[in-house]
Amino acid sequence: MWNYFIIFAVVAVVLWIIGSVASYRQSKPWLIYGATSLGIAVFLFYIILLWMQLSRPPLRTMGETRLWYSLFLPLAGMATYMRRKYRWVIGFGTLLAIVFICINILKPDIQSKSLMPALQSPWFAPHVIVYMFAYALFGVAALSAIYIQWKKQGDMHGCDDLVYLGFSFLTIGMLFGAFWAKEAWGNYWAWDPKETWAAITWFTYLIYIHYRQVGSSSPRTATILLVVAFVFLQVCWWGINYLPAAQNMSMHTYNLG
Amino acid sequence: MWNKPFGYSEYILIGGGVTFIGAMLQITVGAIDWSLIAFPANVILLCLFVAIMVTMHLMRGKVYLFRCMSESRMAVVAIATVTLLTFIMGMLRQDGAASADKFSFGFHSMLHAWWYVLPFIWLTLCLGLTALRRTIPFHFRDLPFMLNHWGLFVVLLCATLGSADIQQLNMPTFPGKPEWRAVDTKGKIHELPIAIELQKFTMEQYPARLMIIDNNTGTAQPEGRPQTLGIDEKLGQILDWRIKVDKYLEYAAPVGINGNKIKYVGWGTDGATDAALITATNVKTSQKLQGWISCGSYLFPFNVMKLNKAISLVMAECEPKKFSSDVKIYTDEEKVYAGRIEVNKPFSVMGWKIYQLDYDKEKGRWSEMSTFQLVKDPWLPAVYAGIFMMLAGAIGLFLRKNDKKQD
Ligand code: HEM
Repeated sequence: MWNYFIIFAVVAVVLWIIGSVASYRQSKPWLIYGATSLGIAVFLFYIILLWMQLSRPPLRTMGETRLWYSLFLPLAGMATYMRRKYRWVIGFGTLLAIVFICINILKPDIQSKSLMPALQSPWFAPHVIVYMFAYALFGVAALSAIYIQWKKQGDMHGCDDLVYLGFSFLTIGMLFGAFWAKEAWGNYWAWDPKETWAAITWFTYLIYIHYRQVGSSSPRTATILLVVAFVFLQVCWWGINYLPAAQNMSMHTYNLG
Repeated sequence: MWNKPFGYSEYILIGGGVTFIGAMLQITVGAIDWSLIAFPANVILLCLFVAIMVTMHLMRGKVYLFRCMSESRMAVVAIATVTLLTFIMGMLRQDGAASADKFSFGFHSMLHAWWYVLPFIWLTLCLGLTALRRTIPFHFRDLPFMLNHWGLFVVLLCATLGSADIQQLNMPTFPGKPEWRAVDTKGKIHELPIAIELQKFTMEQYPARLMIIDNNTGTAQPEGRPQTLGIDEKLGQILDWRIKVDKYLEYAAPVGINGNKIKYVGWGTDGATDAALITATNVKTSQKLQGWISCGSYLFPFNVMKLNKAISLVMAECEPKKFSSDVKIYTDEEKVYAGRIEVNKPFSVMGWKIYQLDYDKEKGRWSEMSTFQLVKDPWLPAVYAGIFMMLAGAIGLFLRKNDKKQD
């Protein structure tokens, strides 16, 4: 199944690019939404096929989580476009999705059907999928904030929307993780390195939310916060595997595939 | 400085001050020993905390500092302080309670360090004061706000105070021998009001996987990106070798070990190993080899198939798919329960949750021992109440209309 990835990916990316260009040129809505959604459908179809072939949710390895991330990015972009009509936002989602698709093509993870017993839980799929959706929203938020600051046009309200939405998913993902940890290991929170970084990320977005509440907040500082938070999020997602402090410490190392 | 209303500089000094006081406490009092606040001390502390918080709330008209504590800027600084400290924790190796040496500064056991915990207490206090201010008077439209803030408040407070009451014990068991003693993390033995009798430990395994290793180094080939072949796939190719599975025995024993050809036959009792009869064909030279390979068990050695001087075909040790224990549980109220405990499916009885923790790794699926972890956390319902409030609050955040006007 992994060998066919490139075919599905290319079709999806072409459709997303059509959607991005159409939205940038402000063409007909049916073209914008039609092309983007079709691309998402093609990509989702691939994930479902992979799921069936593996007979387990494809969420175990880094490569598999990158699939979901690439799926949700254009979705997040399209949702933002619906609401705020930023012409470039679908393009951003697509761009970031392409980066992660390329990583998957260049460095596919070894596929195996096995799933260690601790991961065989009804919480597994919702926990990771919800997290990936939050990550996608935050990715689009960070890129949008940089664009707004760089072009000196537009306001940060679109970013606020994305962060509120992303933060609600991040919180739900984290709390599902707590329920799961209680069932699997007996404690809902253990300050394991991965959990510590999840807390750092969560707190940083919380700073953003409250900073934006203050009347005189500067958009520049807000942008920096979004970028820093996004970097922390990457550390939590995969960077943790390279942190000396976390070597051989985390019990959440299944991501390595 | 210190002109009213306070700006970020004042708030940052407050946040830094709290951390500094924590550092001073660490130097003078030493690391926090959480076991000191076990019940009933934690209930007293909880009442004290709430009483102080309510008093501060009532005096907010008179004392400016108390009013500040529920300001947005204070929230930003308090959360940022805690984030920064948690960042330090994320960068440094944490050794847990073991290294919570009374006189160390606590960089490697931050959960026991005053300078980490005090800013958290401060954050919780600010959070509680904010939630109180927005709860009285009550407006229905503030409900998501209350759920988010009260939820986190309850979680932080109850998880911290309750941590001293958590009992976590390990209990190894053997078939037919009821066990009522368990050891804690410090190695102390506890007698429990429940006894567990292991009936049977069972393990299911994933089908074996084949791979090619280097004869000298033992590393899987191709190096860096090893390829494996599931035995259930029957046919496949690794490097230049086409591999065909002629026969697969999940429970087998070797016969004729003394001869130069080893053969495996089906064998269904303790110590049986996985074995497969393989035909390997080199696609370049058409060289053909046939032989048995096995991953071995505690009873029988493993067996590889030498393809040439450099490489061999081997069977990797099977990964466990599922392991579980059938148990009988007796309580001192003379009740008997029968049940199955497996990973992700603990058994609850009399406030204890019993988890499948471990087995005799040496013996694998033939293990006659099963270790359980028993956890009692009396504050769990309170923490879960907070978590459910936060979940509801997150849905509120999801539905929220961002109605703020332009920057
Ligand atoms: C679950 C975590 C939290 C979430 C989701 C959250 C969310 C929010 C939101 C959405 C607002 C906007 C106010 C509104 O809805 O009208 C807000 C305001 C505020 N939050 Fe939080 N917050 C959280 C944690 C905290 C913490 C830890 C603190 C304090 C240390 C805090 C203190 C405040 C303050 C002071 C305000 C301003 C309220 C006002 O001026 O009335 N929050 N929070």
